[in-house]
Amino acid sequence: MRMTCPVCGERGSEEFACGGDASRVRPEPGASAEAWVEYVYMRANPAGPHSEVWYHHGCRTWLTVTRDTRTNTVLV
Amino acid sequence: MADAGVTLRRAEARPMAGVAAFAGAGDVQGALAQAFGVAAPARPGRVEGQGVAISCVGAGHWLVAGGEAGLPARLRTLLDGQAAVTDQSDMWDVTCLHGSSVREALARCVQVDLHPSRFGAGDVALTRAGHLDVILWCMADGAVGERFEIAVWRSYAGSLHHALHAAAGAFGVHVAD
Amino acid sequence: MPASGAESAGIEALWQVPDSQGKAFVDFQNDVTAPDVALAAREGFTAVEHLKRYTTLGMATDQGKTSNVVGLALMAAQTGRSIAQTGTTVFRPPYTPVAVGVFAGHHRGRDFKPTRLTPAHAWAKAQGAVFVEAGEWMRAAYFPQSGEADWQTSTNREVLTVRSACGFCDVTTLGKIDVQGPDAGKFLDFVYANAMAGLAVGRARYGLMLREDGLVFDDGTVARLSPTHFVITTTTANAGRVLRHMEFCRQVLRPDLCVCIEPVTDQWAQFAVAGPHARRVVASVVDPGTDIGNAAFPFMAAAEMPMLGGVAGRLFRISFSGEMAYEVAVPARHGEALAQALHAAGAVPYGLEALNVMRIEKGHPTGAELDGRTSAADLGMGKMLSTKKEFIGRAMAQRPALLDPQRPQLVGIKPVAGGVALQAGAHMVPLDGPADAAHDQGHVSSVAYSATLGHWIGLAFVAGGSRRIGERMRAVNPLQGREAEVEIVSKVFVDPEGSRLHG
Ligand SMILES: [Zn+2]
Repeated sequence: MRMTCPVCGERGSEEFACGGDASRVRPEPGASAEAWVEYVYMRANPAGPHSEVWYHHGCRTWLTVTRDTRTNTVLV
Repeated sequence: MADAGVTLRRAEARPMAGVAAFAGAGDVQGALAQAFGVAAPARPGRVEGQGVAISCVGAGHWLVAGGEAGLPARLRTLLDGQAAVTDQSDMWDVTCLHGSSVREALARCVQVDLHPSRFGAGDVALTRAGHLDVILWCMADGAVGERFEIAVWRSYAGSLHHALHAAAGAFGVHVAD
Repeated sequence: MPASGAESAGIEALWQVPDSQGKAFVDFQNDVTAPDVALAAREGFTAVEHLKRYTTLGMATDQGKTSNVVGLALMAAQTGRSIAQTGTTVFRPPYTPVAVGVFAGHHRGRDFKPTRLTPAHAWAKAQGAVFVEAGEWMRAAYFPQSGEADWQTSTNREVLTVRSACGFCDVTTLGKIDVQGPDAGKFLDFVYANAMAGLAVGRARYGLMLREDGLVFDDGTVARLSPTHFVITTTTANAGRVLRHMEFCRQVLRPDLCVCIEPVTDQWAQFAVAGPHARRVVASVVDPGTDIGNAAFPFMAAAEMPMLGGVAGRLFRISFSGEMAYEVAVPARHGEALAQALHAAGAVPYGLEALNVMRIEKGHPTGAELDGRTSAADLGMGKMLSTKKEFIGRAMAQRPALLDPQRPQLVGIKPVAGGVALQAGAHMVPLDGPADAAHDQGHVSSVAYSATLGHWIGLAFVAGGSRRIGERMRAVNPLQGREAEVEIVSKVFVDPEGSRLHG
C-alpha cells in the first residue's frame, strides 16, 4: 500500500500512521454529550471508500487519504 | 581499501538550525534568499549559498546547515516574528557515503526509490532506514563520484551505523576518518 | 507376446468402515470425527470452506495433509457429489513451503528495534552503571560501588545520598518539544488540561495532557523562555505519540493558531540534580555572574544561562524526587562534560531504580499509573482541569461515570507489619471476605523499598480511596499465593508539606 504525501510524494505505508476517519469534526465547546460521544467513539466501518487522516513520520504532515477498505487501494 | 564498494565517513559537527515558518507571517523564503543569495526550495530539496546548505524538510520547514557557530542566533534575528528557529547543531549524526556501490547499498536500507532518475543531486528524502527516521541527501558529484549524506537523531547513531554496515557489507565497506 | 485381458483392479474406495464402533477420526490433528462432518452437512455447511471453519477440519499445522481427502470424501458422500465437485480448501503454510529466512526476517537481534544512547552513556558505563532498556533507550538503572551485593543495596545508597546530600540522574530521555509562535500559549492551553497561557516568562509548571476521551494521556513540565517560546517535556515512553498528537492538534484541529513545534530531544543532554546540596553543585557548573540563589531562582524557575565556561545551557528548578532539585540542560556534545563536572562537584550519580523509589515516596505517577484508564481525579489532580478554557478532553472528562467518587483513586499503602514486602499488581480486597473478583476494590500499581522510611511502600488505586485514609485492607496476589495486610495512607510519604522543594 502506497500513499502520496503532499510534501514528500509517494511512499510506502510503513512511513505513515493512521489517524482514522477524516470526516469527523470536533464539536464546539459546550456541544451535547451525544455530539461528543459521536465524535470520540462512533465510527462507520464501510466496506469501500473511506476518507482517513494519516501522519507521515518523515515530514510530520497530517494528510487526508481516501482508501478502499476492501482492497487497500488509495483512491485520492 | 581499493575494493570497497562503499565508503562511510562521519561528518564533522556543523552548525544546524531548524526554521519553521509561521503561517501567514512574512516571507521566510524571501528573507533567506536575501541573506544567503539562494532560493530555499519549497519541497524536499537542497541548495547551497554563501557557506550554508538549505534543505526543505517539510511544509514551510527548513534545515539550515553550515557557516558560523552563531548560525541559529543569526537566523533568529533575521527571521524574528516570521519563523521559529531552533538550534539543532547537536541533534543530528550525519554520515557521508560514496563508492561504486553506494546506491545499491543504500537501496537495501532506505525505503525510497534511489534510481538516478528519481533521486539525483540536490534531492532530499525524509524517509526511514531500518526502523529509523532519517534525512537522506543526494549531494553533487565529487572527485569520488556520487555522494550521499544521511542524518539521524544523535541517540540513534549506533543503530544507523549498524544498519548501514549491514546494508553495505556485501559490497565491501571502508570507514574513512 | 501374449496379451492379458482387461482385468478389474478390484479397488474400491473405503473412506469409512460402516457400522464401526467407537470414534472414527478424520482429522488426527484437530480431532474431527466422521459424525462431525455429517453434522456439518446437516447444518448446511456443505461448502468446503464452511466445513473447514465449522469443524476445524484441515486447520491444523498439516493444513489437512493427513486428513482432508477423507473428510472431503465423506462430505461428497453426504451431498451426493464427487470429491472433485466438493473441492478443496486453501492450503496455507506450513503445507505451502515458506523459506525459513522469512520467519527469521531481517528484524532480529540488534535489528529488532533501534537502541538510543544518551550523550553521557559512555561516561555512565565507565562508572560501572548497570543499564536497563527503557523503550528504545538504554538507561542507567544503578551505579554499583565496590562491596555492594545487589541492586537494592546500591539503590538504597543512591536514595539516601540524594535525600541527605546530592545526586544527579541522566534525564536526557524525556521527550523535549520546542513550541514557538505568537499563539504558543493559546496552543498549549488547548493541548494541556491546566492553564498555560498565563505562565510567566522564566517560570515552569507541571502540565497534564488528557486524551479526547477525558482520560490522562501524558504529563511533563512546561517552561516559558520568552513570551513566544516554550519548551515542554514529555514522558520518555510517550515522546513520539505526544509529538504526533500535538501535530494533529496544530494542523487539523487548530490551524487558526500561529504556532510551530519542533522535537529537540536529541539536541539536549539533561540531568536532574537533587538533594540538600543541589544548589552548591549546580552553582559550580553555572558560569559566574548568574544568580541561582533562592530569591533570584526560586522553585519552578526556568532560564537560559551560560554554563561550563560559555556553553548556552538551560536551567529549570523542578523536582521529581521531592528534594530541592534542578534540571540542567546543555547541547548534547557537552553532555559528558556536564556529567563529569557534576560528579566532580560532589554529586553522586543515581539511576532509574533510585529515581523510581523517590517518585513513589512522593506519590508522583508514571507509566504504571498513567495506564490509559486513569482520570485526573483518580490521580488526585481533578482540580487541575481548567474551567476557564477549552482543551483536549475537557468535555468527556465531565462524564458522570468519570466523576463517580467510588472510582479507584490513587493512594499510598504501607504494610501493617514491619519487614513485609509489597507486590505491584496485587489486588486490594477488604480484610475479611474472600479474595475474588466480586470483592476486588482496586490494585497496587507501584511498590518500592523506601530506604528513607525503612519499610516497603506502594501506590494503589482503591475505590473511593481518598476518603479511606487509615483503613486497613489486604493486598493479595493469588497467582503466587501471597498477601499482605496494608494501611491506606497519603500517597506523599516523604515531606508532605513540600518544604524541601523550596529550600
Ligand atoms: Zn511527507
